[in-house]
Amino acid sequence: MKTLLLLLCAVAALPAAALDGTKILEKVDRNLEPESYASYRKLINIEPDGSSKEFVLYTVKKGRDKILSLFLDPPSERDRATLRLGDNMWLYIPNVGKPVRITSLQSVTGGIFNNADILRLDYTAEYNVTSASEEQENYHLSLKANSGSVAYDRLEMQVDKKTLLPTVIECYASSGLLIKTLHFKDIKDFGGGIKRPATVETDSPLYKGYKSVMLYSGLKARELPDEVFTLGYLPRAKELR
Amino acid sequence: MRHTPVAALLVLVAALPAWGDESFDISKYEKKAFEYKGYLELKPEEQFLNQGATGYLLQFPNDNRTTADRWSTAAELSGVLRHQALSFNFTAHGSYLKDVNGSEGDARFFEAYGRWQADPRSSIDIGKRSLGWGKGYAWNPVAFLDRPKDPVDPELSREGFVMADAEWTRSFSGPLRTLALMPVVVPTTADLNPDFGTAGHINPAVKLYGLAFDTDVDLIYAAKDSRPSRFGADFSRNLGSNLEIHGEWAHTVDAPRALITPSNTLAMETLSYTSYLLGLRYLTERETTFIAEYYHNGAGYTESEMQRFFTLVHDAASTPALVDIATRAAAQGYNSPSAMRDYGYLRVSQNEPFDILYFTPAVTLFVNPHDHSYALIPEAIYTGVTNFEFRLRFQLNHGGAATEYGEKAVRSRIELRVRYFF
Repeated sequence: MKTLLLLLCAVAALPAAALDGTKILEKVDRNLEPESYASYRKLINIEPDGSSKEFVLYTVKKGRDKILSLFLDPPSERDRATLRLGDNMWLYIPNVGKPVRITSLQSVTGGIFNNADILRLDYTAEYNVTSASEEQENYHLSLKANSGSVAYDRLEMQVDKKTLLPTVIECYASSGLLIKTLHFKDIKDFGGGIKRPATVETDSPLYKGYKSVMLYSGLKARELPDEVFTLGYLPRAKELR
Repeated sequence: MRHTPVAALLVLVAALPAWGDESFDISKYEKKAFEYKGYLELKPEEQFLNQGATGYLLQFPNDNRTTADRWSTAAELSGVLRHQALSFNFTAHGSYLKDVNGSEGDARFFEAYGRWQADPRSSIDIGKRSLGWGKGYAWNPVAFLDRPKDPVDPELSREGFVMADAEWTRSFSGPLRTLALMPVVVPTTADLNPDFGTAGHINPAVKLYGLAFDTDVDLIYAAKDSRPSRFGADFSRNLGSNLEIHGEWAHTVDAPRALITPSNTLAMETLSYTSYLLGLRYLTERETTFIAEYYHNGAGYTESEMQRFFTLVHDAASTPALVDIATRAAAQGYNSPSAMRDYGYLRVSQNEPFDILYFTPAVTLFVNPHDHSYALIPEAIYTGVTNFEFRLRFQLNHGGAATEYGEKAVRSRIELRVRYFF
């Protein structure tokens, strides 16, 4: 009888133990974007007085760790291009005429989004799931950076159970400081089986009263040769669209 | 009436920008057959002069002024015209300057070249181009085919040379991720690239780029033709999410160099020399960026060689027979930027202090470690007004007599640069 009771308890505990955070995170990655894609994004930095500044980027990504963004607006930034290959990041400024290495914590746009947000790779490429738990409507994933060169040391991610899409992500420094919170909103059907939040809002205790918003448009799967994701191609990135 | 504040709040909430529902029209941003961009610039400047300094004697001979103001305007237009795999790319630059010596205007193409891009892996360019080789911010000893950069304003666009080049790129998986080969020729005739060097040469050069073990590496060779034989290498690598290091090394064989002899004549000596640069870029948690570089200019003048030039210019003020040689020495290297042997560079910039978006104050320091003179350049940049950039900059040149920055014509200067982008 005692053995049967123990067996029943073990069976009852099975679903919790079977919660595979890594699998959930892999699904989150693929539900957000195809592994290789192209998209237009508008970044809006909103100041406490309501004034705002906008940037428009065309972005292409290939595989787990190659991503390139081309600035289309405002005119002062037009034709600038950023490239990320794993932990390596570069910024190409047409006037300077050569790509310059940049780091993930810098921001090429100013505002709350930094380079790691703008050139975001798959979460599974940069983070390991350290714990996963189940709440009423969400999964809660705790993620830890898999190397010292990742912008945020730790992420706390809320994932909607039905859509397997993130709703809120808190980003922490290694000191435990909350750097920013990302809010995923406005789920939209982009076609081609891609249905994801079209809006990502962020706020930060380091920038009280400020908000940055990223709007997605024209997101679709696109395959490009590896050579597009090289320094030599950055001056030609404007030919990609 | 009790509900008025609530109603007002609701109206306010409803009136807030509905970012969550907004999408944007991407047709405006799709590729077109012709695209262009550019800027207009206005730059008033006030200079406080260093009477008696070498630079002053060269720039304001027989003058007694203590200040000089200068107005400059500039316009730059860049564009691309596309037809299938072919494109024509250009950057046209015009400027107008008015100062105490009068006024002058200039208009030219900084770049104008045709490109055939067979596929993303290969391309061929023919025409006037600026290559921008090297990894350094203030100096680039391996930029064998570029015009010299202004270290005080390293992000200014520069005029290129007429050349033909090709680029082949291959990507791999593994420690070597990218390999790119770029052969270049820079032909010189009496009319083509006359300021590159002697006419009648093709000036071949080649650059091999690799991204290996997360490090950018370039190997560069330029054959002896209009200019001496040169070879060099550069590298750049991120050591963390906030730290980048870079360096350049270049060796030049049998290069001519103007040298003032003890008997006050101008001789051309031949020397082989090595130049190098080491630098880093570091970002703190509070978003302060430090860029530091050390530059050794192998062809630069030593302290004693430069002192001979300072003495010559001062002597020329009272001995007219020396004016010609002093002027020629200045033009042939002694008065060029970074003319001496070693320099230190430090730039500290603070991104958006006090939560002021798009505001970047910075201070830049150039130091000559041999004579302990320096230039200190505080500045503030604001880009918060759409399509405008405002930069207020002050420069202080400081040093004793017979030191590099102490002998500059300008002791200090203040300038405002306003750019409108379109």
